[in-house]
Amino acid sequence: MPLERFLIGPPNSGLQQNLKPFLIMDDAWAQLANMYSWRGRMRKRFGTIYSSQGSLIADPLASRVKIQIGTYAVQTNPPGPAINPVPGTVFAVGQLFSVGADIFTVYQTGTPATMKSSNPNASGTYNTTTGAWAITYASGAPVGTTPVYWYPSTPIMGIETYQSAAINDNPTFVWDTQFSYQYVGGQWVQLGTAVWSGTDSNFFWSTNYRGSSAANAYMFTTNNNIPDGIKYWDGMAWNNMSISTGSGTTMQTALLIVPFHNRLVFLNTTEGGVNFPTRARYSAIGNPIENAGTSYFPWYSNPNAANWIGGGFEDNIQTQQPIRSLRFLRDRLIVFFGSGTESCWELVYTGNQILPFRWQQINGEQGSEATFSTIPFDDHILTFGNVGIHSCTGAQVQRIDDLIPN
Amino acid sequence: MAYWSYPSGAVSGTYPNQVLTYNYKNGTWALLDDSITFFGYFQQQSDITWQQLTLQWQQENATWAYPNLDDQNLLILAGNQEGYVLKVAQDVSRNAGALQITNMALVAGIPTLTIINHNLQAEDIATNMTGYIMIENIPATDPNVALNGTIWPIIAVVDANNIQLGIPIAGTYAGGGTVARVNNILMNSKQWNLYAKSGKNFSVNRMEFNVDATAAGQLTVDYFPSFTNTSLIQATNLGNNILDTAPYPIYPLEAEQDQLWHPVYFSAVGETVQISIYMNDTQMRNPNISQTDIQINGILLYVEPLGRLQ
Repeated sequence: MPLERFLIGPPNSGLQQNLKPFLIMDDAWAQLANMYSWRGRMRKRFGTIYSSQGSLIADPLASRVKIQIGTYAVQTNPPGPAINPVPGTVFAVGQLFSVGADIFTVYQTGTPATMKSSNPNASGTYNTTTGAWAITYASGAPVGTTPVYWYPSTPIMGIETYQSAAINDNPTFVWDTQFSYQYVGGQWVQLGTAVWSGTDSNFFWSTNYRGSSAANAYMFTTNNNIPDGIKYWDGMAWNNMSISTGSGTTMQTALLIVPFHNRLVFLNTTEGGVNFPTRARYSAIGNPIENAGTSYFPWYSNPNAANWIGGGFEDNIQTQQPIRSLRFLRDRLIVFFGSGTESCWELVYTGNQILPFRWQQINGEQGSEATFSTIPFDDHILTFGNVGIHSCTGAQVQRIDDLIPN
Repeated sequence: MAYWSYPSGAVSGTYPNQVLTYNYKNGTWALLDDSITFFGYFQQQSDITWQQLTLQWQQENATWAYPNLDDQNLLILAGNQEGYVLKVAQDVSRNAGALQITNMALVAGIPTLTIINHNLQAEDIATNMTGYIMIENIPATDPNVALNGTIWPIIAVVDANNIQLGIPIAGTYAGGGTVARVNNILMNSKQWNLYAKSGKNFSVNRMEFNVDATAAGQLTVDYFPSFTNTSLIQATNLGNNILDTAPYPIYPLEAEQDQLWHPVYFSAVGETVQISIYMNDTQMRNPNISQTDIQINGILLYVEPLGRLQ
């Protein structure tokens, strides 16, 4: 019998694990790692390149977040003026200093301890208790104004685009656990001087909204860590946000921030040291920046209080699940709740300025367990639940991961 | 494409070690091995110049209009656990060196690299053919500079900050080196039997793979008979089953072709036949192979029924 020919193609199926490999589609894969189905072919996964380049390889330091802590002025040795010790509170093995192309690596703890030096004519020490540092050149010290950089080497905890007013000029801000950075001159350098104190589970959620004037472009940021509070970038510096609720307490932090119908809304808030996991606290319409000097209190929530101008809050008392994530579906704000059990709700705009928002349930079974997993599309939203990946259309929520149930 | 970075349930590391990808156009899924703590967007403000392009031609798969080269395109950024911020590049087939070598020394006589929070898991060690790294950026003053550009299998994951490699370490490490993960691929097909309805066993003699042409690419096409995981190329002498994605020199026209039909021969008879596509150890250690693009556009099976199903 002549050989028969059987074409597997175009390969339009990816990983399929809901059936035994004998039963899956002919062009599906029982295991699929570092390849994916794309436009009728199986393709190798994406690569990565350094921030500064279209295509690799040199200058890995330009792709790391860094803080300038000094400058090698002409004929000065050691460098000055300098920030010494380095800022923040994390001083650890694995951190790095650079002076031009010379790299000083913290490879051991000590008070201080010698660093590795890529330049045999230079040496350095670092105190992993205090953050104090010293770099000395025996010969061949850099001339001119060579910056001295310190690399905190902590995890990247947030990446967000700052929508400044200029067309096609939306800089990206990046956070590690302690500092914020912006890409300037081909490098990720510190943005402002604010210091956060979260851990490697305090990811940063940010949103763009107006400030005291509608012409302002502010970025509001939270890492849901009480000591750090809510901060906003006004184009020049990070500012701590004061949020007086009018009941003698202040709101300290929140998991999520979003502008909605001309109000800034915080969700899953912590107020006076108490967490309100189902709360949506909203500002008055317009300016969300409190100014006690002019008795402007946009976050006062008691309509009977003096200086109340429209702020308030809405607790979802129908569930004790915490608010976990959100995204917009056109003009609707879809909010996912979850902590073991899950649900999906909409924060509905009522048009009533006394009570502008109400909670309305969409699904009582499927929500989200991962704040930063939620991805919006034109007609649905995807998010990570505790048993699968959920898609919310605004009318219903359903799993979409039937092909990979495990 | 949608990407989610997450810690796989099989490991207990602090940081995500896998990326789940979802192609929302055709509803398909895949898993990637990577350690990314955050994804975001980046609007590049200036064009990339020739001076900044340092890839070799065989490593660059981009067109002239590639978004990563032009200003004002919205690009995807990925941050990792060591504070690197990288651009995700769909048309680059290798990873950037985004793990810092903090120290490199012999520990109890075993070459050991200190990479703080490397996030490589025991599952990554080379026995699974997934744990390979490429050493780069060691400064010229370092006695180990010759290691730059070499790829090594991970022998063991000592702890969260140390791994063991079989590399020759010379003198005292001076710092500045980086490590890039080198990803192997793994594609295990359906357990095919096109004659199951007829109650016949299945024989595969040859497969033709339609692949995009590369300069030096290769893949290994392993195969397992009858619902087993028994490799017929690792356990037997039934060929090496190398699939070349580079043009055959004896066919000059292939050098001009964008796509190639290249065969792999099999000697498989069974209730089912399943193929497994990956790069073997030799292929993984060769940067010209393991860091080359791979695109498979179709597979043509030459099959026949053979004997009754049992």
